[in-house]
Amino acid sequence: MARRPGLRVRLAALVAVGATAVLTTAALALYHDVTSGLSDAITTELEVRLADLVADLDDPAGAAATQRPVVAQAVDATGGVLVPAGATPLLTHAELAAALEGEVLVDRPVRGIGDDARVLARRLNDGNGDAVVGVTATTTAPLVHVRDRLVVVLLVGGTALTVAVALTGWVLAGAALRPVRRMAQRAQTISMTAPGERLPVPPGGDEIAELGRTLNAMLVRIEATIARERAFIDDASHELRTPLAVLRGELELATQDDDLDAVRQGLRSALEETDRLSRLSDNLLTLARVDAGQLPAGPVCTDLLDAVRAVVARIPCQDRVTLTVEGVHKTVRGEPEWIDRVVTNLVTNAVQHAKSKVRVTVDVDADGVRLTVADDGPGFPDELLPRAFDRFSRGDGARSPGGIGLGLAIVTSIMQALGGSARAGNGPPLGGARVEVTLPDHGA
Amino acid sequence: MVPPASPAQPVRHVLIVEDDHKLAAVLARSLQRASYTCTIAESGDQALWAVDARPPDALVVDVMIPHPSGIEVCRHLRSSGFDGPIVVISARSNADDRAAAQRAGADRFLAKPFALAELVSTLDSLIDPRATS
Repeated sequence: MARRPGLRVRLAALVAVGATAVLTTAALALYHDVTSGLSDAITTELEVRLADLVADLDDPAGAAATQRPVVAQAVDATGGVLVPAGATPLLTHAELAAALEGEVLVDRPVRGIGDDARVLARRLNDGNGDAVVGVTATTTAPLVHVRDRLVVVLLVGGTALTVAVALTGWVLAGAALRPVRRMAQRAQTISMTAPGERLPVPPGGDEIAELGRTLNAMLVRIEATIARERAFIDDASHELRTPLAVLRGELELATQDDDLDAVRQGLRSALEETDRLSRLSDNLLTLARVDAGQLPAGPVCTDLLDAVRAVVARIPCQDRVTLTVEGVHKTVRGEPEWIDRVVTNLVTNAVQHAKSKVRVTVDVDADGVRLTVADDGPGFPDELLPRAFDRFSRGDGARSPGGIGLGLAIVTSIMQALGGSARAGNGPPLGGARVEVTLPDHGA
Repeated sequence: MVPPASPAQPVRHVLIVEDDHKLAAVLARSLQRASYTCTIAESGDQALWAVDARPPDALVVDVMIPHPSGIEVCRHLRSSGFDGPIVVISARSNADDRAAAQRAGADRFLAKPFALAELVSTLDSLIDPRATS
């Protein structure tokens, strides 16, 4: 496939084509105006002489003596020259016949004048009422000369002007596109391994400057996304490697230990680490599925209150924490698996941090169906609250006793995928942490 | 099985700075078998207090610990005159992390998961280079 010419070439060509069209139109108009003006002047001169010829008919001697640039003859109906007497006829027989019928105006060679000449013949009547044809002829050499010169001037000048305009267009297009070229050159050097570089934006508010600003804003967003992805990968790597280190250490110690109880203890610890790794990989897989858009809201609906009761029934906390569930039956759109995941994460989190009470409420507000999970624990640390739903977010970057900072991140990701929202805070109703998630209401 | 220390060998004390309780316990058990005594600190602040209270012969410091970070602990200890060996352990093992640890004054960098024997031999060589040469 042929490569399309560059924008600069296309702009210059467009300017050249436009200039050619305009110049050609102007040249044709000029040519027509000048040549028709000259031609009319010559014809007018012939007309004037033809009018004089009537007087000459009355004074043939005077006519012969007059030196005029226009040759004039008066001929009778047979072609005989009356004035000036004895002159060679200017008209051919066919022209004479046509003139007797009206008028002849023709450009042709005329003996005594030259190749470039014009002849005007018209029927006149002499004083006796006999048919007489007046004939005048003059040179059209000035017209031909001007016409030829004009063609040369217009062709050469027009071509030169077209080339000049095209070159000007080329230069102007180059100047206009220079910022684009600079941006393209910089874009080739921008790499996500060295973030922070930006495209050079020309001053002003034209389209190219706007394009540059838009692309730079896009770079900022891409860098932020990549930074988040890198941080996520770093955190995931950290969370995977730490239990692996424990697992490896326990197994290494077990192979060196002679005490069977110590070996069993080490193997139990190793098993716990494999559970930790399983939970982590499960959480990471969930986030990956949500990120990949594999969590459509779909047509399946779930009763939120029933989902809460199912989760509460299987959480082993009744000896330490009193877990109460209240509210109304409301249906939300979403696979039971994902709704269950949201409720499980929220309730488990609350139970882990509660002193003695956790309350789960399902009700309806202006935004939809609201699930509130509250506890009487210490609440979210102030520094953690703004990023409670971030991935791997924990107080001052350390591991919290009960989790790795993915539970609420999974909740908010699922909520967003299902068209809902999530909020975290501290205080009422139990004085500790309170997390609310809201989903669109799909009826009772 | 790690051989016990000879009676003439002085008891060497290692401060383990690691907020993952299980990993800290595994490291401590491993070092104790190599005749080290161990103290565990779960945060940077605890580590700095522990060094003030009883300067260890060496430190094993995780990078990602509660305030201040392991790197900050290294930097602070070096600037305050601590010249014992510091082994930084981290789940992040790219060149930037290693360089940051080195700039902060760490003697060695071990990426998780590492062999306990490697940690012991690293500490042995740093504390008493002649014994392992």
